[in-house]
Amino acid sequence: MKGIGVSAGMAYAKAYLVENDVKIEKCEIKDIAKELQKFSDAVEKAKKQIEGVKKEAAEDCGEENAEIFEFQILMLENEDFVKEIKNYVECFRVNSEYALDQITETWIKQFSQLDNIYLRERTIDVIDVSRRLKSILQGGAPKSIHEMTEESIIIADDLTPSQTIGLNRKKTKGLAIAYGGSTSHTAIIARALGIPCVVGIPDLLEQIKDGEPILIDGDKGEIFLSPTLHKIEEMKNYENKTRAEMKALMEFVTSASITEDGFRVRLFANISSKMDADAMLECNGDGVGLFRTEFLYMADNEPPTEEKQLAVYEEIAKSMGDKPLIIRTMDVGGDKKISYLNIGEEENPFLGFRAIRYCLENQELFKTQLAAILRSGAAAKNVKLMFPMVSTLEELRKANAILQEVKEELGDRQVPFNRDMEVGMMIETPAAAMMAEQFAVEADFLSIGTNDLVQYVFAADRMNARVAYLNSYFHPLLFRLVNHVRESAGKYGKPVEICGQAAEIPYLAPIWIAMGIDTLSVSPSSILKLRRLICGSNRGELQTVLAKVLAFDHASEVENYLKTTFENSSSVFYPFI
Amino acid sequence: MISINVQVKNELGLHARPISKLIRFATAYDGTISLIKNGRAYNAGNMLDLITLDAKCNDHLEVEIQGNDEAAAADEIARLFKTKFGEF
Repeated sequence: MKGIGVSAGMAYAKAYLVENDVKIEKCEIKDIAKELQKFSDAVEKAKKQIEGVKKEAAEDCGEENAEIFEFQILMLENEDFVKEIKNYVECFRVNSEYALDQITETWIKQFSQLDNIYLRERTIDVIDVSRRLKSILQGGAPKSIHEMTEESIIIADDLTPSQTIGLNRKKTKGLAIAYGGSTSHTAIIARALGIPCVVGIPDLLEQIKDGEPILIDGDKGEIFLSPTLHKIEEMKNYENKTRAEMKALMEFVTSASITEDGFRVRLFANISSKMDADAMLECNGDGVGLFRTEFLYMADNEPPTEEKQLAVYEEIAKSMGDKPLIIRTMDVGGDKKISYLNIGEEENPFLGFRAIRYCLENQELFKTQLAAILRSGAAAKNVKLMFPMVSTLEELRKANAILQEVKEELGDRQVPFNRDMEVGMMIETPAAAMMAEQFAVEADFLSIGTNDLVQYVFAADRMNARVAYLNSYFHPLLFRLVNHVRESAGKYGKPVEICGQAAEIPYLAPIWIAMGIDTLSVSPSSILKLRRLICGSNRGELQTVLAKVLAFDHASEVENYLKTTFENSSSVFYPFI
Repeated sequence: MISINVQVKNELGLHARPISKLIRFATAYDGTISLIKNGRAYNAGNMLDLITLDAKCNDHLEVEIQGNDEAAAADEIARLFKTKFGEF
């Protein structure tokens, strides 16, 4: 099967299908005693399984976090849940699966009415326990991706961002997702974690059986069902090569990212958590170019408080010393749906009410975040602020006016904050790119978000696999736009960084370096690769490549040219191909 | 039967972890323990009861204990609430 490879690497493991819930049929039961026994056995088995999961969680993430499973065990030990189901079976003479479904529903209803959010969140435990029991009763394996018992490749129609974040990092060997493109959130997280990922195969779930051994190739975007020994051998060789490659890359941890002719590049990381920031520090990256704060908003059923955000920002900022930390205000909407924000269904979410547009309308929420960011800069002067999805000067001015209000409020509250924090913005819409000069006057720095910029320039939804051919980062138009932004910013001495896919593709880095872009923000896992590439390149020589590329008409010409150029040069570029 | 007054000190209210500890104690106890809020009794040995009790930080509750060695059980429950069920 052929899809789109969005996170490199190969993986071979059993398929783990994440399916939607199946509706349980109601059946009449004659032998009630037998049905009750069957249910009791399932409860015992479920309890053992959860105890196993708990033990494992304790080893992985500490006793404190493992205690959460205690609640699930209690649900099974404490008679009320189990008894209610048994009573239901006896009263209505129905199958226990059906009774389980009915009682689960009433429990969920009761939980969802609670005021205490920490209890309300336990709904997920009720669902989890119920699913586990159901699959045991039906003779299957437990079906929650957080609790895979063996190394697997996850097969799903789509994963929610919170599902992706909660992936069992040790056991998830790969991801194969029916929908989405290379910049869907699953793809971004997969790359950050270094897990191979293939997307864009709409009938994926129909083709793969649960538990079937499969091999996925995240470079070529291929999936092999029950692969041959020959194929597996190939993968092992690849793995050995990768390991050798990793070792070679480790040598670049201590080097600076400077070309042979002395051009210094800053390699920043895109992060969504402290863990990502740590990964950046481990390979001695130069800072964080994009902290995606919307993930903080996805963790709970309500927005994080100012204090909670402050704690997160401060912790990360402190761990980074004086390396810059650019915090981007929440980019919600688009493909990042958060139910409590009530953005609602939109015909075209990517063209809709998202990011700064949402924040300018929902000022309370926006102000809370701005206050937290400004306060985190009180002690840590490395913190900077950035607005996403700005299209017009009015939007930037409005956002800055709100920021000013927040500063005054913080002053009144007499809490320490950084009054002089640098404030930049993202260039993600064609409008912003064309107007870069005007923006450069008022913003302290510009960051080109290439994922959105490309989809808006070519009017091609990046979640739609069918128009993926248009979303090419090799189109000469993209280079012209980036160059325009760089020149515009240069006039006012404002720095420009590139983030998104276009910053990570190794063939493209020479183009940005030749243009004179000195800051790239990439997944932590790409930092060392890019550093090695930079150390082995000569900016003067790359000018001829740039001149040639700017003269091409088609993305495919550019892509072919860059590939052959750098494949043939036996130099440093080879390992990335 | 004896009855004591307690206050929820846990910042997040009686959430999953305190509930787990309370149920463990109540089910092991030879007798009945109920928590009273707004004139309604909730069985401390029943999970759904404790959850629907929905007790938040600083809430005052009455505890009714009936059974074996009521005084010792009352002391232990008072201690659990006071020590935030072992949380910091």
